[in-house]
Amino acid sequence: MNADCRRIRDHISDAISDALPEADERALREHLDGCADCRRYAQSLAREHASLADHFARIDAGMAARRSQVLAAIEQPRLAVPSLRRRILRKVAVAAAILVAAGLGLRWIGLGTAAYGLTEALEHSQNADVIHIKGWHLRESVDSGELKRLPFEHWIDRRNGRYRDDYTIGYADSDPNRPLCMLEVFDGEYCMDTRGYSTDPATGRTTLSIEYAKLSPFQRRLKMHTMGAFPAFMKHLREVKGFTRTGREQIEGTATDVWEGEIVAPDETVPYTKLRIWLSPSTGRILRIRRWLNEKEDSVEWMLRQEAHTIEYDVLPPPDCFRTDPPDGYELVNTKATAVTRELGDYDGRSRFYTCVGFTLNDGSVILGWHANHLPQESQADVFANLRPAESLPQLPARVVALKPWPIEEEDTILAGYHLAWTAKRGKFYEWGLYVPDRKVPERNTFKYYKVISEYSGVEPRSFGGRPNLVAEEVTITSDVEFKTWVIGAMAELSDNSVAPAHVTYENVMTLARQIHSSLNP
Amino acid sequence: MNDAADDNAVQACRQGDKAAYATLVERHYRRVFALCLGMMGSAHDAEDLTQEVMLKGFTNIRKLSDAGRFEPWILKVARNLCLDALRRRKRLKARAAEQAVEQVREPHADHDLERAIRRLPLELRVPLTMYYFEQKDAETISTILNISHSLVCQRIRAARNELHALLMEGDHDER
Ligand SMILES: [Zn+2]
Repeated sequence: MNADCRRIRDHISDAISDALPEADERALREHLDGCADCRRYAQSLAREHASLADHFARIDAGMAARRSQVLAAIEQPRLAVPSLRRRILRKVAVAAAILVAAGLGLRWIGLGTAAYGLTEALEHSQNADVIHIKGWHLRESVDSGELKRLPFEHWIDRRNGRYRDDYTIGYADSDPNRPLCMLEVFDGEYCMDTRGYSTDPATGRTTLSIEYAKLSPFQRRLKMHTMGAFPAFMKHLREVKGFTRTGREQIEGTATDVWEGEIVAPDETVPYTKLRIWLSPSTGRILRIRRWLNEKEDSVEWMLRQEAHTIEYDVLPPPDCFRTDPPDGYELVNTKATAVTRELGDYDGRSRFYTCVGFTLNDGSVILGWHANHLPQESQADVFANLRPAESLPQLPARVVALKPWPIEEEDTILAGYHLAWTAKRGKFYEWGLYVPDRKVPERNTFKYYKVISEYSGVEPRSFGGRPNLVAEEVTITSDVEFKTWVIGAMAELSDNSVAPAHVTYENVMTLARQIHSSLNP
Repeated sequence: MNDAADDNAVQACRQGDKAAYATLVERHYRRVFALCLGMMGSAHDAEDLTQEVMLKGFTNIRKLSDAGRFEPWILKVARNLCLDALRRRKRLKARAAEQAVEQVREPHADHDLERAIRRLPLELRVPLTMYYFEQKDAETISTILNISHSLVCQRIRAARNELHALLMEGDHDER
């Protein structure tokens, strides 16, 4: 180590921080060429920088969950546990792989660049505070059958819990040049949604109607938590499982990896959807998505139907973006003053048997909240009296008796339901069942849904106004803090006093599930 | 940060509007957390302290004189609570030195790195942590910490060199 080395080592540090003036860059490079010690030092520092970026990215990835916890604590002070030890970091994303190694310093020091794969990139995009997506989709015109490109635009402001979705479903019959613009805006409190359209036979004029709804704070958080980054293209990250990298392409000067794969929808034999996704492996940002549809049941004719050509991250939304004042030219079904807040899972207020919200636990068990009462005027308090955890489900007129992961290879895996807890709110009773698998369940990302297996005791499914067939709004729970935020939060949400049953804790539920599982497999 | 939006939210909070405070938490949580993480050196402690800061912010919001300056105020609250906690920790450490109190750690976390970060002096650990949380923007860090831009750069440089030395030192006892 000569006299230069000390100064050079500051340069190395600056280069890694991307803060080295160009003038010094050359001196640094020359010195490194001739000094093995400093070269080694530079490599160590670059490696440490990557580890630091990784370390902090892991911590950062738990931010939303932590924030929810604080929000819950503010709303319900009894949730504030001063010295709660939480373990968010554990599972946290491969967001880690960010390794920010793309920085100037590392490139020529000769460390490889850590690249994003598809699922990491999607998770990374999912974590952006703001996402703006613009594109088009193809629709047949009703009369001519001619295909038209119709625009769509989507904003998600995750930080403030707001979103906006603009899309066009076609053109008015009366005026083929007048697009029927649908709109869904959520301003953090009210959701304004275009419901549908009607054509006045006398005037031939088509009118769209708008309806307001309110979401409770918990529903709002759940919505943001479960809303994917690209809702128009995929419901869940797990849908891209099995996608492969098919090439590299430049998009406006940015090198991208191209990923491609097919999505099989439930109950379909032939893949119906194909996606191609362009992502920058260095920033982990998705820059373009195209979707093809398979037009016929047994054809393999793909047709390009939808494209997101502009995708921006963390940009500032226009000032009026999330306003929910009724736009001109729409009919109002109700107003903000008359808007109602529906309970979880109760989408139209008509069905008497529905699932509210489901949670997948680490061991493959599921907690599912559901409601069943075909005679709403009757109290169900008796049915729930004296029920104990791990016993049979309550004798309600309709019951979710089991769940079935679907589609999976071993068709027989079944999660049988046991009573865990119940809550009641405004005269409605909710059963929280614990569904425990009889054998090892495949990883959650290898199947798409849980099918609901229900039983009716002497009552026609019809008289419940429909039957549930897939689990609603499912959240994966891997830690105590997530359990508190989502499971406890949901139970509190569906009880009159906003308190979940005391025996429902992460630890208790995991123990219970283990006991049930071993009783099934003695 | 949108000061006008904060301003409105603060006004509403003073009337006891919890929803308005929720928007403030959503907006500032991450930065407050990053500061607490930098000061405490552990995500667990940072989490607990950030929660404490946010709850304290809510009960004390009337004490904030300039409604448009919520962020500097809440960061100051954070800083003070962290300093208290560090002092408490130091006292505890002194008392229980020989009782071998094992620090609870995140499973799967990189112990060496984490330990080294915790051993950095406070004035280096804070800017280094903020550096990774603030998109590597020294300008923002200098505003938050109220020190000059060049001092931020100098400290990050020193932090890297010091951290490297700590990591090379290998398995020594913590602190
Ligand atoms: Zn040298």
